Amino acid sequence: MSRATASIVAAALVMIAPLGAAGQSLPRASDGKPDLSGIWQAVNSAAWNILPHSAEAGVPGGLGVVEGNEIPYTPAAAATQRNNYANRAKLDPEAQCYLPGVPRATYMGLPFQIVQTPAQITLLYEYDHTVRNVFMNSPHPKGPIEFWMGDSRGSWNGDTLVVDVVHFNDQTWFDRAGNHHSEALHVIERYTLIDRDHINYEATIEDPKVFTRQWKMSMPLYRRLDRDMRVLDYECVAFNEALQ
Amino acid sequence: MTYQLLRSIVATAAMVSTAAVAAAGQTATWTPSRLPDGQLDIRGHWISDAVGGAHSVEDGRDPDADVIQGRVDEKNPILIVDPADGRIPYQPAAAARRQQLLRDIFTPTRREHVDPHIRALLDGVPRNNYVPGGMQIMQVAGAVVILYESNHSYRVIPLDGRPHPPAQVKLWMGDSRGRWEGNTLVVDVTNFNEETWIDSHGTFHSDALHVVERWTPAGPDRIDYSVTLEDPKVFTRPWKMTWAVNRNRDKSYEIWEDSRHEGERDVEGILSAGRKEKAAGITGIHEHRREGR
Repeated sequence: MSRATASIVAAALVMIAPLGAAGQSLPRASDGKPDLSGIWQAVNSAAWNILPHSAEAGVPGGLGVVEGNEIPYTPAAAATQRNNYANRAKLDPEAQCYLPGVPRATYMGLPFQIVQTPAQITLLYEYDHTVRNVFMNSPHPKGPIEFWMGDSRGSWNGDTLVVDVVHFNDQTWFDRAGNHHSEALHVIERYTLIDRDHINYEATIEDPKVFTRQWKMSMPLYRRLDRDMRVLDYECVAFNEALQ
Repeated sequence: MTYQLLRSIVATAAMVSTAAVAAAGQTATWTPSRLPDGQLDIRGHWISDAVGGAHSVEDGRDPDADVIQGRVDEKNPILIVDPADGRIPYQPAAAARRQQLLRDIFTPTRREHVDPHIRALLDGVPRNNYVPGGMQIMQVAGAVVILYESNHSYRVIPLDGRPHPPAQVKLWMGDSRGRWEGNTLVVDVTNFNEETWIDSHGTFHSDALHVVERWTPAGPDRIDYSVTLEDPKVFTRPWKMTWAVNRNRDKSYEIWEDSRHEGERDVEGILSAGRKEKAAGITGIHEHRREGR
């Protein structure tokens, strides 16, 4: 690139930057909250492994989505993960088309739609017609309850939607690499709209039976801008049945 | 008094009392409220008064099962209003396939002999409206969203006039596009696959199925629902069902997870029993008709 071209590019970047910040205000719902409505998708390889990993046949490599690139398993839980990985073709709940759990539903590689109202925010996933109802400003029901997708209760912290999720079972995984949890899992998700077409997604994970400390993953979610976009269906129950 | 007469009197009394309550509930002063985008407000939790349809849209609940479950006095509403005889207008080849399905249901030996609902597959439209479990209607600008309790299925119904997807796209729940015509939400549903049944009596359809639903609020707590089904590969003419959809007045109601496929073991048992019976030379047909038919 010539010096002249470089300075033109630099000038263009300077012009674009203020537009991004000031020219594009966040879309807002009628109650003034950021409007998360729409169809979103994660674009990464966390579905295979949330940790950094090299490519293999049929598996794209990935930089990982876990802060610090490490999951703080207890020694016993680390051994379980190794066994899960070795037997993943058989043990992965996705292979049985079971509900994917949280946060795994977010990055299955398929889109999901957010339907936003002040009292209830509902997430409709293409994978296995999975649904999560996030009830706003209301307490978790008294347990013990074991849901595949947990019980989600939401609140707004400034412009961030915070979803507290408990009442899980111990049957779901975080990815196809056997990363796992117990029924004591507690997930805190944060959805922050950073511009019209991007959400910064964070999930804080704690489970005293499996991890020695809290840990966190994060990734951007991208708005699907495809013409006539809609969430379709991915009915893996029927796909599995066809193989029987 | 015969059992059948008693049953008919009880059923009539139940219908009359329901009608009286319905009339009282629909006050003349009721004006539907509207949302900012102009839609009539039909948000909330609803339950179809059509449960027998999940077993058979023609003949309602199974009377043998009613005896076992102590439900003989419960309402068993007739859903089909057109044709007047309440029978589905199958083409001859389709009628023969349906009879075979009723035999297969009696002694099932393969998964496709078992009701897709039991197999934890999606129910399709309109069946999802009358399988046990209610529904929640959410409304946002330019769309109606229906969340079904049964098998956590859902439909997003855009109201902006966008076209259905290309015909090559087949969907378990079809593709729903809606519009408000006066006080009626009209939903046009196409792009079905041919895997779902309309009830557990093997009432099948092809991928040419075209469903038109009409949701008309008739008061604060009732929606009059009607649905027309046409399928030029299976039926000789369109046919129509109607029923009332009543509000679940429990304001604190929340739909909780109905994980259906996870841990499903019924099909295994049903097929095992069916195969044993078939091997023992037992055959038959699953059949029960409403009185007078």
